[in-house]
Formats: sequence, structure tokens, C-alpha cells
Amino acid sequence: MSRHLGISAPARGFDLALALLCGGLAVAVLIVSRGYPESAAALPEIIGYLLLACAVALGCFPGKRADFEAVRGARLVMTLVLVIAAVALIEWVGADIGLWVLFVGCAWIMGYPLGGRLLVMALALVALIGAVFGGLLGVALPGPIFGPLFA
Amino acid sequence: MDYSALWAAGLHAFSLWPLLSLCAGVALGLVVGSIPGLNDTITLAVLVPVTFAMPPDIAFPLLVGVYCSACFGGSFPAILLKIPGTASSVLTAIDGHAMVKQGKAGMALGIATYSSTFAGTLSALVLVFFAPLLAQYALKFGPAEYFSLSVLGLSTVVGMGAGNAMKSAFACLLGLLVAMIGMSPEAGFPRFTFGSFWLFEGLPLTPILIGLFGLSVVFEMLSTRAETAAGDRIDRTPIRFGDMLLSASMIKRLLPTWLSASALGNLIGILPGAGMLVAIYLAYERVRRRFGERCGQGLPEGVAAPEAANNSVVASSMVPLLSLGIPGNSTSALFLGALLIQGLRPGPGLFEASPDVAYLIVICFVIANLMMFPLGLLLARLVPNLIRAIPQPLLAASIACLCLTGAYAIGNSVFGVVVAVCFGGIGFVFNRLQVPLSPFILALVLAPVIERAFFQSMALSNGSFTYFVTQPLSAGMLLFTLLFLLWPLGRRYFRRRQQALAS
Amino acid sequence: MIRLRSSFSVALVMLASASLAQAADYPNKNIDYVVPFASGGAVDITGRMIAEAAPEAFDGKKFIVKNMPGGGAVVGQTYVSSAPADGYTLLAMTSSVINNSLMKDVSYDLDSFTPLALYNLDPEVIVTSAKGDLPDLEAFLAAASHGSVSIATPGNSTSHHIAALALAQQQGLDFRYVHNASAAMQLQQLMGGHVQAGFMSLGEAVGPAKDGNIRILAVMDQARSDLAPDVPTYQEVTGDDVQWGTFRGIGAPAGLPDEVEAELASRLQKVLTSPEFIERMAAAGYKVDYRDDAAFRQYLDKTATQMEQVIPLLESQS
Repeated sequence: MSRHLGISAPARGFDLALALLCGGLAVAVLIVSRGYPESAAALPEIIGYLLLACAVALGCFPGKRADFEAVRGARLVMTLVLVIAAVALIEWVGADIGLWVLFVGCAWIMGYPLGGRLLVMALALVALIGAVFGGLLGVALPGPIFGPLFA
Repeated sequence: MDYSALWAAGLHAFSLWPLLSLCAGVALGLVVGSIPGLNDTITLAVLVPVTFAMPPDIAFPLLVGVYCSACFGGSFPAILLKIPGTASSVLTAIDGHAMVKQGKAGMALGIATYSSTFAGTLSALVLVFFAPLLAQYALKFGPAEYFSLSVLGLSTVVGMGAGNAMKSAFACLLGLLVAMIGMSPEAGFPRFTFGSFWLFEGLPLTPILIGLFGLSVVFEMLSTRAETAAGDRIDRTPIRFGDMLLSASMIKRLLPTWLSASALGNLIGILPGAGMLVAIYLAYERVRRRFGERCGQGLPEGVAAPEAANNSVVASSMVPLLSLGIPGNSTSALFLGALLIQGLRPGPGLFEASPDVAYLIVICFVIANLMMFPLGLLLARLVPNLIRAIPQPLLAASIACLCLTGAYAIGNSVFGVVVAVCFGGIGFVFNRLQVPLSPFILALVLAPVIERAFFQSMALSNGSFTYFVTQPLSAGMLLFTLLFLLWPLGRRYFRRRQQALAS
Repeated sequence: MIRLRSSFSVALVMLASASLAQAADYPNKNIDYVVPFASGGAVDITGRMIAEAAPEAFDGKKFIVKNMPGGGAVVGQTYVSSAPADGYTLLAMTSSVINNSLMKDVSYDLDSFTPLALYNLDPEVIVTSAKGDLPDLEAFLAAASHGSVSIATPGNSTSHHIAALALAQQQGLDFRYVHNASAAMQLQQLMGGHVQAGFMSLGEAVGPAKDGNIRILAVMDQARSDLAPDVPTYQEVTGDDVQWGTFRGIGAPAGLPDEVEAELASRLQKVLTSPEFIERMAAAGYKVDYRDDAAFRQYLDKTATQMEQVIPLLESQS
């Protein structure tokens, strides 16, 4: 079901992509820093030219091979979605809900059975984090449950 | 030096309450240091106001304990999970985790404990006996010297890239670029901020570290095949005290590394604003030069050098604070706050005005470092077994939650979380692409120092580049950098000549 | 189902009445005290001392110090300016509120805040290295009007940099600026004699001056300070009235209900003028100069006018 994202043959493709990324970054830096005053532009310009040189050199001597062999595409996508969802939940709903979802999601993606046991354990860990940060460290975490509990 | 006051403070430190609170501080420091997402700065920020209500002989042992041991605590997750608990154990993770993979987890933890205790105690003794002398040396460092020191520090990147030169050059350049985000030091011009005030002061370092080292490992655990993730991350053999105690021959072998790393840590650690990382990188680079290829593949010296260097910086960073009243880093700025709150003003007068407290503080540094040894071994006995008891999915989930909460707590905002997640992604991709992370961190930390010191020197010298060479200390360091960079070439030349002669 | 709905509506009613009753029974929960800087600085330390003393005057409710560094205090100030105006979010106000709203593209200005109390004023001083060649203000002024003098600042566009720029323009002096990233690094350069002089707050300069590491040449205030009675004012030496300084105060978002504002102002007065608080501040080296909300507002307006005149200088120099 889950496909390997890469095998050793296209690994060089990733290295080439890195070189292109480096070159693109170099051009972007050089363009953006053009409008800066002299003293502020000096170092970014040097970095820009060095990045450009680095991009060329990366194309010729990539060094150690990129290794995406063990990465599974489907799980990578799920991880990405989960983390973005967790950050969004922390921002708009609360840290308590966001962390709980993150915990359950992580464990589930790694193959832990999704059951009452996991949900309760997630609850316990989130409560512990809330108590340590809110109660002991004075960093009140926002959230519908944490908020009234530690304010 | 007032030896009778020192003696009295020493006796006082061994009375019940100071000793208990020091012990509590060391234990607390070890715990917060070893949890990714928590660090000593946030802990001290909380403890400092609490110490209001305490008498100084309880307050300071507690704070000193946390300050001393957090850095050592960071080496536990660095070795066991390849997640540095604090910035100071970034390099410990390389050889430490390689040793774990070879089934030598106990030995790696043992080396970290021995190195930390040895170097920490040594630099605490230096703090006790030579603080005023060293403080005068720290004042000799002006803009030109900071510039040259940072260039020297940055030159260690060249060595790190052996066999993978362009990728480590890319990591270094990217570090420099990320450091450019924010106000430029000379003109106060916002660079690469794209109008967002969140970026005015640059990206915060701690969330970056949490992302690069903590979250990237979580992403890796989540997205790779379960067998490989579990297989190489956890060592199955149980760790006993016997594994952690080093043999006499090993101690003899590591002693030179300890001595040179603590010398570096002491000299660089006392410079305010120079940062712990330069000392650690230089110490590691020394080991790398000596052992070449073997470094990074589970070399005992590769754990000993960074651990010895970072723990000696801890005590020596107190030198400018206690002797001059200048806090060397953000953590000692909190210490300054604690002193002020107790009505004590650090500076040359501190040891005369209130010798009881002043000497108690420096003595506590010695005792705290000695205490780290048994407490560290105890923790090293417990933690790996605890980690082993937790199923992998739950471990990954807990680390993820801790990382995000820690990143939030730095600035009380989701911005830190976003930064951590982005750098978690970058760290993950870098690891897969075999781009090393350590040049990135070093460049990120040193770029602002180099740029600022450069423009400061230009202002002082009316724009003359010769300023860096006419200042003797600075010239010496630049010359050393040059030798440092040319050494591999020179060695190759000599070898070739020798071979030519032999044939 | 019906029971659930009715209990839900009861909860709603309770919520509504709670928000109505808020002004009357203020304070009924802990108060966030936002420090827009990282922990460890003067604003943070004094803020934590206020938080320590607050529960007594606030019916046992605590001040929770929240450090929100970033953007040169913009992050924390933006947060408070857009927080609900219910008296449960306070801001540690410094001159950066004025600087930021005048110089940076931010979403707030001085009117977005309700000034509540000022608790500390720190006049600007000119200092030189004790090892240096400028023993007093006359020598300093003479050197700076004939050639240039190197000046260490804690950072570009900080209040100390602006003070130096303003003085240079008024008196026709020539300064070369050495910008640092912190007051600690500035102090290190002065003590080491790498720069000739520096501008800083009196509070920061008194300690190192007592130790003999730096020399305070003059204080830019109307009268000498109790903290350093031997140091002349700028006016005493030159006859020109030059005043500059930083302040530390407490504010809240604009639009507080009147009762809450009055309640906060009077309770803060109780905290800031209590003998224990003053004693604690003195032990840490800070003098408490309490001003009430009206006087604080006046002070802010005066400073803002002063700042507006100086800002073109800052823009022209870069």
C-alpha cells in the first residue's frame, strides 16, 4: 500500500534538487538584498555569491548520497497533515486539544492500536504537561481546559 | 584572596539546608536538561522570583545546582536518542549515539559523566581561585578580538566537512543566511523580514534547535519503516553501574582530551557573549584532527571533548558576572537578577562587601559539579531502562508533545511552535540528504557576532582593515586560523615528499 | 436532552452575568503581566518584583509574568494592544512603546494603551572608561567637537543611541557609533577601554562606577541623583539644559471600563508605594518614582513629542 518514496537510483535526483534549491536561494538572496543600504547588504551579498558557487559545486561533487530509501510516502504525508493540524489546533482552539490530538496521531501513525488505552494515556500526558508548565513553570498554556484550570 | 572567609563558606556549604537545596538544584537541573523542550534558562527564570523569599544560603545553592547540571543533563537524550536536550550537547550526540548503536550505551553515559564532573570541577576551582585574574583577561577582548575568535570558530566547519565538503558548506551558508534574518547590526535595517514584526529580532534559537534535533527525529520515527527506527535507536542490553565505570586505562586515555577541552572551555567561556558553542566546536575539532575518520563513529574522545568543554564553560561564564558584574549569557543574566533581588551587587566589591554569600556561591559550583557524579550515574542507570520500557509509538508521541510545548513556552506564542515545526522539517530533509547539521548551528550562532564585530572594528579604526592585524591578540588568532586551515594541505605535501623520498 | 439544553442555557446565563459583573468584582482571577523582553533584564526583574508584591493589594490574585520577547518589544506590545480591555492583561511599558509606534510599521500607537502607573525613571548618563583619556565632561565635549569620539551603544535605534544622536546634533559633536547587541557587551567594551565613551542609564552605570571600572561624566537630568550625588548634571557643567532618560511603567489596553481603570490605578498605587516594595527595589538598585495614571499620561505625551523631533535624525544617519 505504501510506496517507497525513493530508491537508490533516483537518489542522485535528490542531490540535484538540493543543488538547484541552493542556486535558487542564491538568486533570491541576491535580488532581495539589492535594495538594502550598503552596510546591511554587504554580508547577504557575500553569502548570495557563495551560495551560487556552492550550487555549482554541489552539482559536480554531491558528496554523500541522499538516502530516502526507508521513507514511506504515505506515512510522511500523514505526519505532515498531523503536525499542521496540531499547530492549527494550538493556535485556534488550545494547547490541550492540540497536544492531545498530536499524541494520539503520532502513536497511531506508528502503529499503536487506537483504543481507550491510548486515549487515556494521551489525556494523562497532556494533563502532566499542563501541570508542569502551567503550575510549576508559570507558562500558562492556552486552551478550553487548561485556561480555567491554571488562570 | 580571603582564605578564612573561603574556609568559613566551605564549612557553611556543608551544613544541612544549603547542601540539601544544592542537591535539589542539581537533581532538578539534570531532569530539565534531559527533557527535550525544557532548559536551564526557563527553569531559572521561574526559580529566580521564587528565591525572593528564601535566605541567600538556600537560594544560591539551588540556582547554582540547576545552572551547573542542566548542561550535563542534556547529554542523556543526546546519547540515547540523538536528541540533544540542550544546545550544549549538539556534538555529544554524534559520537555518543554512535556508541549506543554499537551497544556501548553504558560506556557513553559513563564517559559523559566522568568528563562533565572532571571538567566542571576543574573550572569551578579556577573560578574560586583565579576569577579576578581571568576577568581582566576577558576585558582585553575588544571588537577585533571577537571578530578573529569567531572566524577561528567558524573555520572548524572546514574540518567537519571531510568527505562531504559541499554539503557541509551548504549547511554553513544556510546557517549564515538564517542568521541574517532580522535587524542588521550596523544600520538597524530589517533584512529578510518581509514586513513581519515576528522576524525583526531574527528567528529565536531555542525553537530552531528543538526543531532541528527534536522534531526531526520524531518525523523520522513516524515516516520510516518501523524495524529500522526501533532497531538502531534503542540498545537492548540493560545498563549496569559496572558498564558506566571507566577503567583506569580509559581514564588515562581520556585525560589529555579532558585537559585540553577544559582549557579551551575556561578560556573561551569567560568571554561575555562569545558563547559556549565556539569552545565545544574547537574542542571537538581538536579530537577530529587527531583521530580523523574514526571521529563520528563512536569514538570515546568524541563524547569526552564536547562534554568536558561545555561543563567548563558553565562555571567560567560566571567569572565576568561575579568579578565585573557583566553577565556572559542569558542564563547568567538571570543569575544577575537573583543577586540583585537579594540586594547583592556583583562586581569587584562583592567578595569584600558580602564574602559569606560570594564565597558560598563559588564553593557551591565546586560541590555541585562533584554531586553530578553520583546523581548522574544514578540517572544514567534509570533513564535508559525507562526509555526502553516505553513502546516506541508512545515515546515518539511524548517527544513530539514536549517539543511543541517547549517551543511554545520560549516566547509564550505559537510563533515558536511554527519555527520549531519548520526547522523540524528542514532537519528531517537534511538528515535524509546527508547534509550535516552542526555547521548550520555554528554558522547561525557566529554570523551575528562576526558581522557586528566587523562593523564595530570599522567604526573604531575609521574603516581600516589593518585593524584586525595590528591588535596583537586578534592577529595571533587570525594567524592561528590560517595555520589551522593550511595544516591539512601542508601535511599532505609533506607526506607526498616523504613517499617520494622513500621510493 | 432537555435537561442538557437547560443546563447549557443556565451556563450561558451564568457566563453573561459573569461578564456583566466583571467590573464590580474586579479582580476575580489572575492577571497577566506581559513583559515584552526576554527574562533577565531590568524590566523583567522589576516586573517580577511587582508580581511578588501584587497579591496583597489585589485580593490575593496573582500577577503572572509572561515574557514575550521579539521584534524589539513589538511582539509583546502588539499582543497587549489587541488583548481584551478587561483589566486582566497588563503591559510593562517602556520608551520602546513610543519608539516602535513612531518608527516601525506596527498596528498600534500610544493611544492603544491606557497608562496606569509609572514606577521608575532612569536618567541618561554619559560615561567613559576609567582607563580612558577623557576625565570629565569638558574634555569629552572638547574631544568630540574637534575630532570624533567613539561611543558604545547597546544597539542601533535604542533610546541610548537616540540620546547620543540628539546631543550630537544639538551641540555639534562628532561621534562614531559602536553598536552592540546588549547592555552587557556595551559595558564590557567600556571597561576594557575599547571605546572612549558610552551612553547608558544611570541605574546601570552606578555599580560599575563605584567599582572604579567606568567614570560617569554627567547626568542628563534637572537635578543630581541620590544614587550618584557626586555626578554633576549636564546643565551644571555646560549651562545647556539637556534632559533624557528612560522610564518603566505599567499600562493596559485602551478602552478599559472606567471602574476597572480606577480600580487598577488605585491598587497599583498601593503596590508601588508600599514600603516593602520600595525597600526591595532599593536593595536591587532601583529607585521608585511613583506617578499616577494622569501624571504618567502627561509624561508619555511629553516624551513622544521629544521623540518625534529626534526621529528624522535617526532616519538620516542610515
